[in-house]
Amino acid sequence: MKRRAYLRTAGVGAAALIAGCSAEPTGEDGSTDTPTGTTTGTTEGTPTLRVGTYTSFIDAPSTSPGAWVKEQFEAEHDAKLEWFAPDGGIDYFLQRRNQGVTVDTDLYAGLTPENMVRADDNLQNGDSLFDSVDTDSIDNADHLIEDYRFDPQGRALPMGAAYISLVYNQNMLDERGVSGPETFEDLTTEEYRDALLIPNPQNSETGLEFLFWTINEYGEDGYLDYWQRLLDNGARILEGWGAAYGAYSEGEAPAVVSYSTDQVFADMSDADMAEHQIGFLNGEGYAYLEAMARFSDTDKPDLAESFISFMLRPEIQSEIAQRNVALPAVDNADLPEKFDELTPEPETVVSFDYDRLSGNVDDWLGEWSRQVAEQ
Amino acid sequence: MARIELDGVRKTFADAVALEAVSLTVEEGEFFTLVGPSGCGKTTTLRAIAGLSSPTAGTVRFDGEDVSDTPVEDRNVGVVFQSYALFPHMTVAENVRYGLRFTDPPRGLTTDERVEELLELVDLPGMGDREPDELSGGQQQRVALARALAPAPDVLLLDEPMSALDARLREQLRRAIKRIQQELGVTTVYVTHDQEEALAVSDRLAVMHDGGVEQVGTPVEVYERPETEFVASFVGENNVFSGVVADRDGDELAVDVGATGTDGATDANATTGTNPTTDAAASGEEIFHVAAGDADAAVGDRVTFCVRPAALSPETGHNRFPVALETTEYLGGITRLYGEWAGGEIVLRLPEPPADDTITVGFDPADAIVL
Amino acid sequence: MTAIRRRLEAATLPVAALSTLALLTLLFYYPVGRVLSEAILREGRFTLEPLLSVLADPFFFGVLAQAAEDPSVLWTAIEPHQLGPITYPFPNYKLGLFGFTAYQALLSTIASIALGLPGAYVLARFEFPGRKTIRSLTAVPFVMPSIMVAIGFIATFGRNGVLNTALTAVGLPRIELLYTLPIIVLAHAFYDAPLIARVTATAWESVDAGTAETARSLGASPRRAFVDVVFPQLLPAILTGALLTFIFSFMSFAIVLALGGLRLATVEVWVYHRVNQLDYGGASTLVTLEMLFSLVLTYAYLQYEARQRAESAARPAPRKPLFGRLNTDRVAVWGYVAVALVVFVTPMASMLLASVTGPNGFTLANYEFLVSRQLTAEAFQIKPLTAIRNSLLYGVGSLAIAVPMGVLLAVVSTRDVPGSKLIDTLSMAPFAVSGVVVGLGLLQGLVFGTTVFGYRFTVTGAVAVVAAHAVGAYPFVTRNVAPLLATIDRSVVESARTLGASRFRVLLDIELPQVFAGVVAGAAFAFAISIGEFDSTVILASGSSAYTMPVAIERFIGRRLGPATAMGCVLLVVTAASFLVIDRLGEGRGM
Repeated sequence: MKRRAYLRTAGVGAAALIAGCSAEPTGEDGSTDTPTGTTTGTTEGTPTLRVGTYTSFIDAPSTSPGAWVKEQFEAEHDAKLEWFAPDGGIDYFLQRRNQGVTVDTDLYAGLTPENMVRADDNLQNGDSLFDSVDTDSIDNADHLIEDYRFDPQGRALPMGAAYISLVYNQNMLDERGVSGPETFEDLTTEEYRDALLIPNPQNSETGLEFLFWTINEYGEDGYLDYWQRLLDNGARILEGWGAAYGAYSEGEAPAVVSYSTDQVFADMSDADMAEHQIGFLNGEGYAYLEAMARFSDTDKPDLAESFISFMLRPEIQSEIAQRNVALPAVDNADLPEKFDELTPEPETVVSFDYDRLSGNVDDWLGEWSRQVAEQ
Repeated sequence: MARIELDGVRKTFADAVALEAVSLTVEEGEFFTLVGPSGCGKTTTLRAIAGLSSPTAGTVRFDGEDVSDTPVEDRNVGVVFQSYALFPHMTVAENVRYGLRFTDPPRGLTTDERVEELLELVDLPGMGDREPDELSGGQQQRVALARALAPAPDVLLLDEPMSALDARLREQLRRAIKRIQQELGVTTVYVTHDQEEALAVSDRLAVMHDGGVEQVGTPVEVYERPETEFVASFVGENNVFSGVVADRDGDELAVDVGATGTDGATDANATTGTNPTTDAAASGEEIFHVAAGDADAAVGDRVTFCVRPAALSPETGHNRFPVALETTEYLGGITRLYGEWAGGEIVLRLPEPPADDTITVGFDPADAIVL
Repeated sequence: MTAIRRRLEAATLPVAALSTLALLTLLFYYPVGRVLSEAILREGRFTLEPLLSVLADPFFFGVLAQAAEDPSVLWTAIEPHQLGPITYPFPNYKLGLFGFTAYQALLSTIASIALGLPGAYVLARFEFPGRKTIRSLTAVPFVMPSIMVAIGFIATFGRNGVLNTALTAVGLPRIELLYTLPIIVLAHAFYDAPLIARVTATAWESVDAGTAETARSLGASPRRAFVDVVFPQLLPAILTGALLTFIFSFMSFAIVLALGGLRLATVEVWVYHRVNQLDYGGASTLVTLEMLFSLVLTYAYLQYEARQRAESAARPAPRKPLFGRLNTDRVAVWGYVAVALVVFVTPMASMLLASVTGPNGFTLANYEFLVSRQLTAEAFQIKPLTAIRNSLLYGVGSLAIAVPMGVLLAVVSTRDVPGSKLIDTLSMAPFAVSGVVVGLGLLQGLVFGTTVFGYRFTVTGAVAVVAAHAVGAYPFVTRNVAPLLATIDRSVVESARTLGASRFRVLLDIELPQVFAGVVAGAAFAFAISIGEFDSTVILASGSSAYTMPVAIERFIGRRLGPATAMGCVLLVVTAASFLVIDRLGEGRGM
């Protein structure tokens, strides 16, 4: 009868619950959190390098370099490469380090300066998530673009870059009878009313760096006023780059804060270039920097170093740049001409370095978000 | 079959006393009725016997054994509720056999045999596969009875089982219940507010009022010899008079109904029963001669006596008084008349309605019962 | 009936109740308590300072916080407002975050009632083919995953969405609705108006026609009879629905996040961001205050729900046929149907449409993407079929926990024990706590592990996900079963007891079978809720292969909405299908 069915399913449920639990004596190393991952069968002696990264590096609907990198790396090295992209990025590792849960990951690819600052600011006991790498043992390290290096402690090595800029739809702007916005102030004028979509700096790198950009332009005392005028002019703040860009491509507004590499994607999908115009405000672009860093608790420091070395090779950098639709971190990577054409660069590069950011990001975000969400 | 004893059973709820202190005995195999108006405590008493509520004080005994703390499921009672309370998700047969999950059928019968036996007993043979909502009220009630009897309980309790049925059905079913009870010999306690039904069906009955028992006795005793004014008014129709004893002559009292006693108060507020006390508002004397019976009344005492309507007749020579007629009800073969004398209501039963609107009737002293 | 068996049976209910309590504590109270404790613990010491500082902060509590410090604000804030030619003074009070959240919840409730009551009228008083199916379907919007509803609304009400395309086609100007308060209110109404319609229709059907007929015979016009006699009998049901709507709109998160933009942030959105900034102290302070408020509302809701346990012995008024000669009544009804179609059907239809539309018209590219992703994806990428499989497994798993737990709590809450109302409220606590907090609590408490007696207890991510789902789902089982349990005729229960059944047997043999329809309805809800759960799942399934369909949808939101809408359609089909299957299973059984 029904009650037996209940008892049975309840019993199954209970059994499953218990099966999923484990109790271990707490030793010095605490517990291990190994999510049901993707360990390919390892033959005796083949180490597996676990690399953390952000989700779109390995799993974007459009294009991701992750699969190719894995293939190449495994072909050249006697090791397996396992990607690991938790939602929440660096926070995932931060949370667990704070709780004393070890995560079996060897390095992280895709660290931004603010990630690094956040990791350092939020770790207890003056700990560091990462340790430094001796650049002498990295091939091609001397071709690293100097401007892209941001870690004074030498833990993070650049792996790629892009520029934050506006992407705008000239067709829609034509309906208003204006051309693309050229300055920050333009965005607060009547002609560009209700025209801009911005990803929320609280959970989007893109938006956050745009925030830094405005702080750079207006100073710590003036940027809040600028934002007030921006928002009064109808700019909208949406959750995440995906939402903002998605809305932009559905025609919700003629401009969005995004990346200067947008035309590469447009070209890939044969879109109308007029709808993918790049706008460098005040002739500037904010440098979106990505770096790799080795986790301080890795048990394969040498393998991690080989990976970093591998990633910085010119031909690898070239492939990654094209697949990730970004700029290479080294100056001797060959890129097809078409790619060059489609990736404009600003006259001036704006960037906050580690020291500028350290201790400030949370405060800026805090006062900014309170002003925006004020009711 | 069990003998039931209630000893000083008292039940209070947060704001009211439902039972004062009820003491009763129901003999083995007896058909015992608790009768009284709404709120008198009869259902509360039944529930105390069943174990559905526990008394605040007092004991309930079955065959001498104190069951006051025994839960209902262990008392081996069968209950038929006013609403029949059939299990809506079970068929008739499943309803009837439910009690047999917790005990074996008697006499070595199988469960199916027992169910069939009971359905035959309540005159619903072969209806086992029906659903309760397919049955009429009377049929549902019989299923409820069959269900209560299936586990062969020691005590059968019925809580106003007829209330929801029409008059004809009611009569049929009470005969059926009586027949079944006699056949099985199970101790039965029956609760009803219908005194006529109580008289018709019981071996003995208890008249209850305001949480207490007014009188216990056979139907004849209770009807012919009511002990209190309430019983006199409630059981059957009655005309109740009150007055002061003017004279006592051996076994006969001369009661002055017209005199107002020293206290001046009258019992004109009896809300139960069919007739309020007749109070001679007129200041004159009106002497009635009544048989004293067992009453120990002396001259000057205040007494109450009652006279059944059937005992009031225009032909009787004694104790005559005029009645101003108000309402006539033809009952088929006999007429009930409501009238007024000395400020109070009088009920008469006559073979034919009188021609005038007043009629003088009288009664035999022996027909008057002193309370 | 052996004494041992008796004793076992007598013990079953208390044992089951205790184990449910233990499970609840483990899966809900402990994790959430952990998170909440950060609101009152600073450096290991109890302090109310964080709570008080939030209460005194105008950003959160607007004019109330301002007035606490400086009461003069109450009148200095009165400013002239313009209404046409008239200038009138009106206070320009700051709402604060909590005030705004309550305000949008209030508007949502009003909108839901406005949209739901006519629906109740149609369902209760008219007869038309498919009525029973439509009635079943009124429960579906409520369980739709918010991320899917958000996509549907974007596809419908966006600047180039279905509505505007239709409007521009007939020459009307566009309506800009996205990222405004009205669209949030509308989305909430999408969820809650069908609920109000359903609850009110049920109450309407149990109104005895005799009451209105009596009023008419005493001289009241049909309108008066309705207002004086019928409507007061519907009021408890309407209020119940309204309270529930308010609570859910207050706690709403994903809808506000996706459709509102940061300028329309509610408390929940703020909590989410605090968690993202790793400011657990700030998050838990807000959650504590939020929870106190919702618990009070939940308690009120339970009181009202108890009051509308109607008797089913009433004779309902006969229904009018829907198709027939057009009179004002029918015209109004058809007008409402048109509006209802726009609000309730269009978002999902738009999503379906968007999934097969590309920049160049009709295309199956989005579905092709799903298929190719399934076939060629790497192990670290999200695969649609895995997401579906996981969702279904978690659904079954959470059913196995939520149904017994929910039924048991329903039984406990309908027993006449002192404090049963309090137990009822506490068991409804998951209503009042955000999914973000539950997920975080489970993550920190269980997945990371708890150290007790020198042993560290952990659970895998998948188990934690099932736990989170079960916790979110069981209140719906309870809310479907408890009202039915309470209306069981007491004398039926007593009859069973007189026939020898112990309390436990009565529960099993008599009470539970009669509420089977409620159990099934609750199970359908629970399953659908599990499938659509996002907030906790995304935290717990992070980085593992324990992802579900909603998580997959979020992952597929990229440069274009296309792949996400395709996945959303898959989710819609799975949700609706499983809901209907379970609901149908319960048909014809019980009441």
